[in-house]
Amino acid sequence: MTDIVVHIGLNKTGTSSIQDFMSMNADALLERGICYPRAGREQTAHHPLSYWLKKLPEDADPRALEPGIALLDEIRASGADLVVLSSEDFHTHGPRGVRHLAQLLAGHDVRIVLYLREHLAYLASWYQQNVQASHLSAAFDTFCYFARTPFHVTAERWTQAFGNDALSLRLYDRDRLAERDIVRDFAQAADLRVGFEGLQRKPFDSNPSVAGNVLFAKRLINNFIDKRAAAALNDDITALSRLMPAFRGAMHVDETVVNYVAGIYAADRAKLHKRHGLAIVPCAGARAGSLTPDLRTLSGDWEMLRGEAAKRSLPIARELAMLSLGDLGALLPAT
Amino acid sequence: MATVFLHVGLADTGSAELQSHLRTDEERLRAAGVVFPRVGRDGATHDALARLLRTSSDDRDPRFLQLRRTLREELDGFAVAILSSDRFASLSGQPLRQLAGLLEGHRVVVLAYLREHLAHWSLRYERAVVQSNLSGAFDSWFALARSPFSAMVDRFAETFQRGNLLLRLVDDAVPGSHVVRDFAAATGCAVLGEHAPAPRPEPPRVGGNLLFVKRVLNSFLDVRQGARFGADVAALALTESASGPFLVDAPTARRLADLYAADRTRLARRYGLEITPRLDAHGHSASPDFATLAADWARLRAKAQRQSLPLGQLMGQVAPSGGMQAPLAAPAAASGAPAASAAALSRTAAHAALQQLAGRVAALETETGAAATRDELTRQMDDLKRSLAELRTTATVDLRRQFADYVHAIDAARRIAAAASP
Repeated sequence: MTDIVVHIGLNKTGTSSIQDFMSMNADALLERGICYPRAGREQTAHHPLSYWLKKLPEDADPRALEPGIALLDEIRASGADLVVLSSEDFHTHGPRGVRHLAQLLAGHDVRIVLYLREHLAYLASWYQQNVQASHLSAAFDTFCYFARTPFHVTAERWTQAFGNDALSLRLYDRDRLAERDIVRDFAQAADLRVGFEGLQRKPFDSNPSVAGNVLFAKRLINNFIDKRAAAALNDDITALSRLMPAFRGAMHVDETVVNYVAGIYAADRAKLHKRHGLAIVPCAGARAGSLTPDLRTLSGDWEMLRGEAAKRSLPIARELAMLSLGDLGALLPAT
Repeated sequence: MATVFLHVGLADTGSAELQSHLRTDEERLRAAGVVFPRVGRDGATHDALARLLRTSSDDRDPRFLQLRRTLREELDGFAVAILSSDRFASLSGQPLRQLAGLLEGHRVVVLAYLREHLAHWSLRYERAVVQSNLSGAFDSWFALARSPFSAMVDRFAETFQRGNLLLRLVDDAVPGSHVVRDFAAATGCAVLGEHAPAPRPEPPRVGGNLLFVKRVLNSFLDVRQGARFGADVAALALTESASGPFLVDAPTARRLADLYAADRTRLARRYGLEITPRLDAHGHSASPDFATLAADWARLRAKAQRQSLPLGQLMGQVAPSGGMQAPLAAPAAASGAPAASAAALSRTAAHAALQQLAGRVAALETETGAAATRDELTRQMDDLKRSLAELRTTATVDLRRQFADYVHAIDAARRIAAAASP
């Protein structure tokens, strides 16, 4: 029987850093008794394993099917004391997918690690990434209204399959992470018990979130293109976001939206606190950041982005050329 | 003890017509022993009651206590009562328990009208774009807005017992009349629907590029502004021949059907309600139709300005800059799809030609001294019209409809070109 840690996300809680660390050091970790299996993994994370489990029919036995067999063989052959599986896609599983994973890992001592994040910060970060890398064109408040994700429901789904004691619920908040570092915090949560000497870390990713009128420009363009084309513009957006500080970092969120989000997740926070002892302090007051859009400067910014994109021959120049924006100041709320 | 019929919607399943009848027939129903309580009512709906249930913290809330007293008085002496609000459907938890508490001592029968998922969500989407500030695409919106009917039905079944639940599937063709007749039969209120209610204009269906224009403009608007400009869009839709339900292609219809497969199974297993999913294309006016977008934008803007609608001004500030192009999506042939038919290939060529012309026509609006260009464009448009007329003779029904839309767009573009100052 091997101890197995399953890291299930959430997305936007430093999952890439954890997965980069685990995959870059897979060989060194194995020498220290920790296996980060290749079976069910593509590059850094076990997304293929998660997708496969999600699609299994109700009556399937994952232990008798590939890649389940390959995973169990690798775990057995590794001789490791501890196995780590990681994919943020795991947290999106319904009861059937979670049951299948429990079935697959039956006989092992399984712990589930789930990082949560304050709701507004989570939604804002998720939204910014979606607009930049996909074809989402809805406003942030619409996104919050529809993308409701009560965390306690996810937590309960996993405790029902693995037991209450199996779940380690942690808050992704730099001030509360071990040494303010998600990788070190995960090492603690997963009880890796390894020193970090000799292990590699990916250099700090200096690409902050895109915000302001560049994010809004992408949102507007997303109306005219499909998902694949929208994803292809990701790098162009990152490049354009470097033109001005207002195009990077946090996105401004009005107090009304902040309060709305805090209100709809009040019961979620209460349940997480009561059942799992996890306290989440909701964001209060307007969230500081770049106005998205900033209508006072939009017309000028749009022209500047068009010019820069054309000058650098970025593919996004074609999309930016499709619309011209005039003075939209009349839409600003009267002050 | 009265039998209380609790009509919970859903929205856009004929609720407005039913409520209109309930209000019109209020006195006749009363004479027949059926009360349509006034407490908690906004006009013809009990939306105010639903709102109070949502906002009141508990059943000791003085507003709630007052409402309970008044309702008891209103129900006194009646065998049947009817409460109706689409907003009831979204109640859960404490507010739903409070509603049950409010009706304690009475037999409650819950009536819910559902519609096939694609029909339901496409209409909800259209309304949200027109009447609010939704700017997302239909496919990304329905993935986000996922809300299984069975979850709502389960909540009401648990609160009021499964045996007291009446589920109906609405026929998309005649939702309003169907629901009124069905409701009258289910509740035994024979007088309901015998008299026509005061005429109540139905919001027009909005599709095609008019819906897309609103969707793009919504990116700049808050909810209130979205609703205000929505009235302008509705006014324009009344005279748009190419509007109507927007086109949902077959792959998108199938994705939505897949998304709700488990919901259909649960409704069939638990409540015996069978919903056959639509797997084919739904609606007819492409939103957007890039081939005609630039011309449509200019035409709709001019129309809005003629009618002095503020939308016209906004459309002038956000405008296609002469070269509105089709999206970057790879052409079918390049993505490994089967080779297109001759008619479809001709359509692709027609698309491209029309796009180019439309862009140049839109540019004409802002350029002066372009008489020669205008005449040349007019000639090209006439040529294209003739080509389309030839293509129509061999095209499928869908393509013929598409070509007819193009001809419509060309005619509009010709008018714009003719009006442009030389």
